[in-house]
Parts: sequence; C-alpha cells; structure tokens
Amino acid sequence: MTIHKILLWLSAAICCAAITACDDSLEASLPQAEVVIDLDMADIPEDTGSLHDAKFTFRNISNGTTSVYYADEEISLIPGLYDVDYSATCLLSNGVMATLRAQQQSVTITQGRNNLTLRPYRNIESDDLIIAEIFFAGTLQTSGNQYYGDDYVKLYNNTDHVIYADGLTFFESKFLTTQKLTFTPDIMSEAMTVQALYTIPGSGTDHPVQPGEYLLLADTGIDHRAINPNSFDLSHADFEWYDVSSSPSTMDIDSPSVPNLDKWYCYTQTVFMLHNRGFKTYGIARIPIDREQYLADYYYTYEYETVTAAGTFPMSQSAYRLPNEWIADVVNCSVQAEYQWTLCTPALDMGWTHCGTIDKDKTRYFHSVRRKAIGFTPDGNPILQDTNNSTLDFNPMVIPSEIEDQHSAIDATGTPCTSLTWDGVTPR
Amino acid sequence: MSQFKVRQYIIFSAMAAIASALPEGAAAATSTVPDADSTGSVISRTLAESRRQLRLNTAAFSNPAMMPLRQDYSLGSIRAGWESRRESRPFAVEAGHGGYAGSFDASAYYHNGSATLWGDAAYSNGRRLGQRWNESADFDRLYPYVTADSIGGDLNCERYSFAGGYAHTARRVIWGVCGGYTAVLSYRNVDPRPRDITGDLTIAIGAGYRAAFGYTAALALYFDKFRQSSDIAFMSELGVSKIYHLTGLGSHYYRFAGTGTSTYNDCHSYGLSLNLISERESGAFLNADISLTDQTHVIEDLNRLPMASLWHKELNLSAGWRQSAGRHRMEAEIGARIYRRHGSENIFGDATSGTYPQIGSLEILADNHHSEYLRLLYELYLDRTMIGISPYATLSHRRTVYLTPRRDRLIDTASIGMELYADRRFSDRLCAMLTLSASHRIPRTSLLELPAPGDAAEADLHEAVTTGFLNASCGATSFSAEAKADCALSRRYALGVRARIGYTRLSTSPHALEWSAAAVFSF
Repeated sequence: MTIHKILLWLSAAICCAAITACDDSLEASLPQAEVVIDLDMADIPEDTGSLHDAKFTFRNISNGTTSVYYADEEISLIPGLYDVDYSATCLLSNGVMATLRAQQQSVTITQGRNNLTLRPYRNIESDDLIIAEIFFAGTLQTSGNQYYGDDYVKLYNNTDHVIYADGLTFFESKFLTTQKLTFTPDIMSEAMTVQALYTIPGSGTDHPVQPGEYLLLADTGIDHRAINPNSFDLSHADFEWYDVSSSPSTMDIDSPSVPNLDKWYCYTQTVFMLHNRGFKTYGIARIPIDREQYLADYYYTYEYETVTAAGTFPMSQSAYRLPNEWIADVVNCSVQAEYQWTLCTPALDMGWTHCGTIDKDKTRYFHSVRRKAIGFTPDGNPILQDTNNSTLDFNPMVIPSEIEDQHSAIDATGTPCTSLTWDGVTPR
Repeated sequence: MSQFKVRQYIIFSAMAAIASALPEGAAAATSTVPDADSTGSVISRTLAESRRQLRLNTAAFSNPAMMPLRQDYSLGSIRAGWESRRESRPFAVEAGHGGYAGSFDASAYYHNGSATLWGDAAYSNGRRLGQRWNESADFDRLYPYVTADSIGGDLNCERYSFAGGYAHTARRVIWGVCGGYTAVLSYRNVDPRPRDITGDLTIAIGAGYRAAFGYTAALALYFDKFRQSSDIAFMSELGVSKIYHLTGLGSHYYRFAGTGTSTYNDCHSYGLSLNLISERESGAFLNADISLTDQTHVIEDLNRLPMASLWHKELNLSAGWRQSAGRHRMEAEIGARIYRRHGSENIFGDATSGTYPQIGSLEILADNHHSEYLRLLYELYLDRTMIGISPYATLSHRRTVYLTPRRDRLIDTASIGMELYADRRFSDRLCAMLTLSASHRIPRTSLLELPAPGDAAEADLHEAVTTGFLNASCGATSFSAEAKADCALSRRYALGVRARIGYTRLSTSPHALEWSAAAVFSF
C-alpha cells in the first residue's frame, strides 16, 4: 500500500470521525426511580373526614430542586437523597378544617422501585402564644465589629382571646441543626433536648397578652444606642434574660427597667445569648411542674459517637429533656450550607428558617426571622401563619421589627431604616 | 490549555541547563529541511527556527521519537519577555478581562551525534484581572468542577516549568523519552483569598522506525498526572462569602454550597499517538493521537468527599502533504479534533459524625466537541527573502448538556483566516521576519437553555454563563502583527527582539487588545 493510499484512507477516517462526532445523542441518560408511598393512618383520629389536596413534596437535598406529586400521580424521580413531605386537608366532624402532615428526612431513593411509608399526623393546634420573631444575628458597631446584647425574641397572641404569659418558658435546644449525630436513646418523638430554660414569672394572671399583642423578651433590656449607635432601644422590653456570670470579664447587665425571666437552667456559667449564626432551635413551652421537680426528674444521659481521622470515639453527655406535649411552639434555625437536620419532631416544626445561607455569613447582621402575616383581624391585628413549618411560616433574613419601629441602622455605616412592615415583607 | 497543547508545549520545550552543557554545533542526525544546518551561523538557525514555527504538521513532534527529525540544526535561546491583554468587557467572566505577565525562559535543542536533547526551564509571574465565578488558574482543564464565588478579583499567578527529553537514533530505529513538570501558584491577597497550587507531571516515551521511501513511523505513549489543591480563606472578622462548587453551565452542587473551602482535583491522563512523516523534501505526513483522562473533584474539608468525577476522551487526527520544488514550497493539512467529556456527580447520604456515605452516582453532564480544519501553506524563496502565505478554514461544534435541571448549550462556528509572512536576511549579521494575521469567526448555530435561577447569586452565575456563550458564539474578527529581528553578535551568538500586537473585536461589542515583547539571546 502506498503512502498515497494510506493518506487517502486517513482522510476518509477523519471525515468519518467528524461525521460520527456530529451525533449529539448523549450517552448520559439519567436512571429513574419509582416511588410508591404507603400512608400509615394509625395516628389520625377517627373524626377526620375525607382528604383533599393530598400531595407529596420531594426536595432533592443534593441539587435543591423540589418536585410535587398529587396523590393519584405516579412518582418518578432521579435517584438521590430526598426530604419527603406529605400534606392534605380534611374537614373534621365539627366542621373545622384541619391539615394532615407527614415528613421523612434524608430518604435514599435508588434506581428502580422504592417503597416508602409515611405516618401522617393531624396538626397540633396550640392555643397559646407563638414565636413571631427571633433576632439572633445582632448588629455591628460603627467600627465594623460585632455587637452583643441586642438579640431578642418576640412572642405574639395570634388568638382571639387573652393569653396569660405567666409560666411560659423560653428554651434553646442542646443540639445543633448543623451537626447530625446518632444519639442513644433517640427521644425526639417524645421530647426535645434543651440547654437553656427561662420562664416568665407570675402567679398565672400577672402578664396578660391581648389578642394581636406582642411580648418582647430581650437579652439585655437597655437602650443599646448609648453603647452602639447602630443598635436600638430595648429598654421597653417586657422581660430580659439575666445571668449572674462567674467570669468577671464577661458580665451581664441587669436592666433596672426590665424585669428578669426566671432562670431555670442554662448550660453556661457566664452569659446566655442566642446562637449568633442561627444553628439552634428555639421554642416556648408550658411546663406543668415546678422548677425543682423538673430539674430533678428530667435530666437524662445520652450517648453518641464522634468520628475523627484518629478513629471513632464513644461519647456520653447529659442534658434536660422537654416533653413534646408541653411545647407550645418551636422554630428550627439553620443555614443552607450547613443544615443537616431539624431538632424536634415534625409535628412541632417540620421546617427551618435562617439568616444568611452559610456559616459566618457576613450578610446576616441587622436581620431577623419574622413570622408571615397572612391576613388581618377585624381589629386590624395581623394574623400570623402557623402551620408548624418554619420554612413556610417565616420570612427569613428580613429587617427586624425593632429596627423598623425605631428607624435605627440597617448596616454598619448607620444607614437608617425607612421601611415599616408587618412581617419584614408586607408593608404596614 | 488542552491536554494536547500542554503535552505539545512540554515536549517542544528544552531544558537549557542540559543543553548548555553540550558542545556547540554538534552534527545533526538527519537533514530534512534545507533552511540551515547545525553548524550554520546563528542567524541561519534563528531564521530557520522562525520558519519552522509557522509550518504545518506540528503534532508529529509531540512524539519524542520524532524529535530528532524536527529540525537539523541546534539552537539554544534565553528569552525575557512581557505580555499583556486587556478586554473592554470580559469575553468569559471566568477568565477575567485580561492579564499581564513577565516571563523568563531558557530553551535548547541540540543534536549530538546520534543523540538529540532538548529541554526548557521557564518562569512567569503575572496577574489575571477581574476573574469571577472561578477561583482556579486552570479553569478549562478542570471544567466544570471548579470552586467559585461571585466576588472574585485579580489573581496573581506564578508558573514554574521544567522539561527535557532525549532521543537516540540507531540505524533505522529511533527512540525517545521526555518528561516535564509544571508548578503553578495562584493567589489573592484580599477576601476571598484563594491559594491554588498546581502540579503537573508529564512523561512520554516513543519509538520509531525508518521505513522505505524516506518515511518514518513512530508510536508514543503518554502519561500525565495533574493535581490542583485549592484553599480559600477569609480574613474579615465579620464573616465570609459563599463558596460554590460549580458543576457546569451555571449549576452548582447545592448541598455543599457555602461549605468546603479546601478542595483538590486529581487528574490522570493516558495517551497513545501514531505518527508518520517523510524525511524527504516531498511527502506525506499523518498523525493520530488518542487520550483518556479521568478527574476527581474532592472536598477535603468534608473528610475528603469525592463530590464529582469526569472522564475525557480525545482523538486528534491530521494528515497532509508537503512538496518542495525549486524556490517553491507547499504544504496542505487537514485534521480533526474530537472529544467527549462526561461528568458524574456523586450522591451522599446523611452525614453521621461528619462523614458522608456515598449512596450513588449520576452521569449528568456531557460536553462534546469536534472541529475540523484545512490549512494550506505556500512559501516562495527568493535570493535573501522568503514570502509565505497560509490560509485556513475551521469548523467547530460544541454541545454541552446538563441533564437535570435541564441546561443546554450549543455553539457551532466556522472560521477562516490567513497568515502572511515574510523574512529577509539583510546580511550575515541581521535578519527579520514580519507576520500578519487576520481571521474571522462566523456564527452558525447557537443555543443556550438555562432554568430559572433560584436566587440573586444564581442569577449572577447564569449571567456569567450567558456572557460567555454570547461571546463564544458570535462573530469575531482578529488581526495581529508580529515582528522578529535578530542581530548576530558573532557567528555563535545573536541578540533578537520580538514584538507582537493583536486586536480582536466581537460582534457583541467587546474588544481586546493584546501585546507582547521579548528580548532573545540565541546561541
């Protein structure tokens, strides 16, 4: 064969290769997974009528996409790790509309057929105060440094009658939403594990909260503008949590104008403040027993394993547990980049809210999470959304109500706030 | 820079230290090109080198066994230069809007009896300007798995490279081996502060046989190991900006966004090439080069989580003919480059104690390309002057698909261009060459499909992808001029200057101006 023939053949090969390469039918075709869901209605009371608008929501944890399927649809997904939600509405025998919900987190869906069992529950309706706002991120000083002490929590009476705040306990979770560990025993279906408990004092009728009225719990109930011009006045707070610190370098300020919450327990020997990056779960509860009995009877020990490069180490710790039936409201907080799990049963809160999206997010300052306003009462009071899903119920990362009300700074340069809203979004 | 170009770069380079130690003017093993010989004056050899760089069939000499046939003269050079590029708006956001670098390079190619040695040592230090949505100095190579953020900024880059090769001719058999190592350090001194360290080791071994009719056929095996480690630090006490792990066409691994600032990419490449060239004045040449590359993107912070991987298969084919008759020289070459690059994202279960178990993998990205070209060359040799013209035409097709949520990009273009060049030997001490180039890219078919962005950052990332797409698929016209001049200091040493200026305008309105200048000491 002469070189000329070889050349000819090679030229032909190049042409063929080029033509073949024009074929853009991609070999990559995604495998599909079929999901069959079985609903276990064991927890649903008998007075629940027929279900409407039943739907399954699959949130792909890897790519963040959400797929919604109605009850009669075939469910086909790409394999992956999913959070699965179920919701349906029903008419009770007394004529009241109720919602059925179920949730399963971190479900592995593989190629082929997947069977999944969900156990729905009917919404736990709490006739109590709810958490309307949590300001945990704090403000910045004019120097750009972080300022501490102006964090607060606002409770709200979303009902049509007076609620007495006496005896209501504000608490913080022991665990982090950003670190999932396998704890033994796993008590989440029965109780939450907490590390700070502060209770509103009173005999039972000392602190009425009218319908549509807020109750402000502050870290330090002073006018913070005297120390940080970018902060705001909290001297009008209803209560503050005050700690007698064992460290002279880290002392709390006891505001003379704001009464203190009763400190039942706190993990720290110095000063308690809300988790500045928002990795904790906060809630309010009505503890039906006195402080001494609670502290004596509800302390438990749990075990878990820590995995490091050096090996796996068994660990043991102790904390207080708070039974779910005592809890009036819970809000899970986290950030998208670090989120791993929620710290309570889905019946209390099946979602989470946030300020910022990453750990140490510098955009989180001067922002809070505020519960959404979905309407107004005839008196003009906002009706706040409470479906026990903080993802849906809260507006994340909005301007705090105290900053709006006082027109204080919204950034380190002192830019005054000009907006006024019911919930950080809906204009007032 | 593609795998092919990297390999070519390293193999064509020479290690000056090795070369300098060799006796000057050693006899050539072969004699194929009548431009100069190894014992010729330095002016003859620099002129021959300038002409060689413009000729076709460069692919053959990526094979170390073919290196003795690349040129029949020995030449060493030490070069110091500066280059700069400014774009009015970034052509590709990930690459920034230009850059500048100073470089120092020493290279040599020497025949010594039946042995041929070549080597290169180079250092460059510069800065890339305004790079966004990419914190890597090797975006094209790592694509799509790079760490990125919306802020970006200028990136300082220091590059060190060493390479060398040896080939031996024993009657009809030629064998050769070469290797090189390139290290790149890129960093920024303001937040976000990436610190990327790249190591790239290339080894090639080849063997050839001098067959009948003056033809030599050779086979070569290639191996390349590449690793880039990347750490992004934030010094601001207020916090950090969000870091994304890009997965192609504006997508990113949602679950790990904002976490994992320490990553690395491991890359291995294996290649095989077959080359045929004629040592005579007239004859055919052909080259076939196939390579397979695998790459893994690992988030080191998350217990070395293997987030994604890809494979890249590439085929390069070229064939041509060259003819010399009297004062005329003609060459023609056709070729094709085809690659398929597919990426897979791994799926992980719930983290327990900081460890993510892998529960699956999805091949989700396909980036397929092919291009074909035809290039002609004609040179006319007059008394002391050579005039050359080299027109070319290229067809290019690239389709990138991300399967879910669906993203699709198609870019089909055609290009035509021409190089006009002339050199003149003014005296035994002075020669010069001028090259004028013009090219025009014609858009054919283009398509970009992106889903709705989830937030403002994703919208910004989509805008970056859209900008790159528009600028890569639109019409473009480029002009450049390059001048070279060498003046002999003696029969053995010459001092030369190189200057080049280029201008590109895209039909979408951005334009770029680039220039470079260098001083070269040849021996």
